[in-house]
Amino acid sequence: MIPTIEFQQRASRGPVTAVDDFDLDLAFKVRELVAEYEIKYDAEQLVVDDRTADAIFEAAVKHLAEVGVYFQSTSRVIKYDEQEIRQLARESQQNPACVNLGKGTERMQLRYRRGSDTWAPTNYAGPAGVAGQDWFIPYVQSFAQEPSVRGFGIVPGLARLGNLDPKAGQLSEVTVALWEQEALREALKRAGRLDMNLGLLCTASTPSGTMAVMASGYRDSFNTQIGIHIMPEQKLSWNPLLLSQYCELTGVEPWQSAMSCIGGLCRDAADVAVVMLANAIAQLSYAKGGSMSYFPSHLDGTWATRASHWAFSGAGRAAERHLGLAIGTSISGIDKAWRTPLSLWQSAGVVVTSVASGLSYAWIAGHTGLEARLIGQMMNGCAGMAPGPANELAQKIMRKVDELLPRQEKQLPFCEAYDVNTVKPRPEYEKAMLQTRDELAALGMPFVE
Amino acid sequence: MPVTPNEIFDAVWKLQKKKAFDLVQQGLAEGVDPVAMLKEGVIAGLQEVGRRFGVGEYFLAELVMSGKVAEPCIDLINPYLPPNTEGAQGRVVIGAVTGDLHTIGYGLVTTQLELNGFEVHKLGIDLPSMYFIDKAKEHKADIIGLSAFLVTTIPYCKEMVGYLEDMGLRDKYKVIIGGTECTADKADAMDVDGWALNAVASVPLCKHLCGKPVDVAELARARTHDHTWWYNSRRIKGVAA
Repeated sequence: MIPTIEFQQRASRGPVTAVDDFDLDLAFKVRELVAEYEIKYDAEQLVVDDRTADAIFEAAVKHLAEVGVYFQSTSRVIKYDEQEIRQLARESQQNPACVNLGKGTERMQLRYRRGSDTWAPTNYAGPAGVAGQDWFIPYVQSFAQEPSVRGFGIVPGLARLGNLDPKAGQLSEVTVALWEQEALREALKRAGRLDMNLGLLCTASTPSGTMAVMASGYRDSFNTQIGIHIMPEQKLSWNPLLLSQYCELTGVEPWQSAMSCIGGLCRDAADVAVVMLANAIAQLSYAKGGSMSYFPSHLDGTWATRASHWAFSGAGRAAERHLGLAIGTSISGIDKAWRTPLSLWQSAGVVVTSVASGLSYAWIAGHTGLEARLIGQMMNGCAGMAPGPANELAQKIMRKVDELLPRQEKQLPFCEAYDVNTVKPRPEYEKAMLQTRDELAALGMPFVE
Repeated sequence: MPVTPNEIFDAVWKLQKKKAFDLVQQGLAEGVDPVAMLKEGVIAGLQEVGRRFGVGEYFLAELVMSGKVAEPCIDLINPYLPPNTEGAQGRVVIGAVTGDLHTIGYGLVTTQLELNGFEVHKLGIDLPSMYFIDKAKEHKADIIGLSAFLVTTIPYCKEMVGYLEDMGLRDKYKVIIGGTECTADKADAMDVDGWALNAVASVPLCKHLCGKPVDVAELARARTHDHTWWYNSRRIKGVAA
């Protein structure tokens, strides 16, 4: 284990490097490593095999050891020794993750899961994204009232409170975040689930904003995770380190989350799987958390593609075999498809590939409570599905996604999907989603209550 | 045989930094036309890199690298250019606003603009509004580019517009914004001058804001099926379709 304070030294004494030079090192090193370890993205096999998962792990260790992490605040590179990275991985693997959140009857866990395990990942919901003041509470309540939703990974943020814009690092960040906490409490109260975990603080993200909101009494270690992640591609600064230190001191579970972009510095899913895993190990080195979300997206923000499925599976299975972490991801479609049948189809693709790749928890962005329920049923059904059948089903789903994608134009606002007074899906919305469920079931997707 | 612009073109798009630099140096010693070396060699080479990026043969790393290949060549050629040589398409200062640490998006915009002949000054991340204005003055910029990815950082774009208005500088600089949560609607509401869906679309936007012609193909890139708003028609004159 590397003491947190050690990063003070590394961030202050690592080699001074121009960011462009670091980016080039990162990009060309990963190309060299995927060639050396013969890691190849295969669109026909979306659940990665053991050999490839091990190769991704080896390449990620070498990548982190040779490239390091760029520290934006000092323009220096934080360096790691290969042996300490391996030691870190061994320690993590020997202590498989089991993160307890929520309280009383709402107690839930994020725990290490293998792709072959027959128990289903935790439905960690998350009405993520931006919400309006007038529909914030029903939006959150639509998830909280679903019994299969065990907690929230991410809650929405307000774009504006009256005429107040939430500005990071200013008074408005805290004011808006406190309004959100009161609204969240009201949503949980209406759902009769006050002790649920609420995950990230959302609008409060700076160290000062986070600490102010934590001090307000709305949040505690049982119902909070705090974001401490490294930015893509391997960029770190003081804020995540300060927040990690805060998590360590207060017992709050850090929200570790690794992201990499396909088609940017990383060419394809193979590059992304390696860099995302290297990012994950680096976060583990200072935050020491048990959960880790992966989010491989394309440079234009699209996601839930064959390439992103493969990248998740590669990094997920590598973590399953070498890190013992609870791995999560966002089960959602692209944002322009939110709350449309396409989004449920895309989500189904994420479910079948990620559950077979060791998914432990799913934060479900851009949907409503109704889809959270259906996604939970899909996760139940897919738990224990072998890689072969999982891949076969994923391929069928992706062919349907290919058909629907060009026709998709825009997302449906929450208020058009749900009646915000009754917090029930509007009949036509429910009908469309249940019809999609039936079509998925006809294709072979198992739905289990 | 004297150096030809075509050899420089090849060295630039093939990312051969030393070769490109040596060829330019040799060309200058041999009296090869510096304008041809710049336009048909270095700039055409950069455009070829951009083309290869567009068709998926090259990636972001190659774009970054091409800038590193071209920069010393341009520095070498610049003093030899006749005074009436057409300069950059426009000058841009660009960076991420206060609280925002995302680098990839504005890095891509920088590279695309450079490939298309803009002089771009990349300022960094987590920058106060006044810093952008100071740098815009220092570099005599035409455009201030703001990158904001988060709900809590987007309001800093509006703050920038407020500073420019209060300092009597609003019409001196064009302000463009971009980032995942930074939508065209928000850009319109903030009364900035332009917004681009992606890095490629930022090129026609900046050309238009600098009064340069924008062709039909570029217009299509600026206007996408669900994003027809790309410049602020209340502040900027329209372009011919």
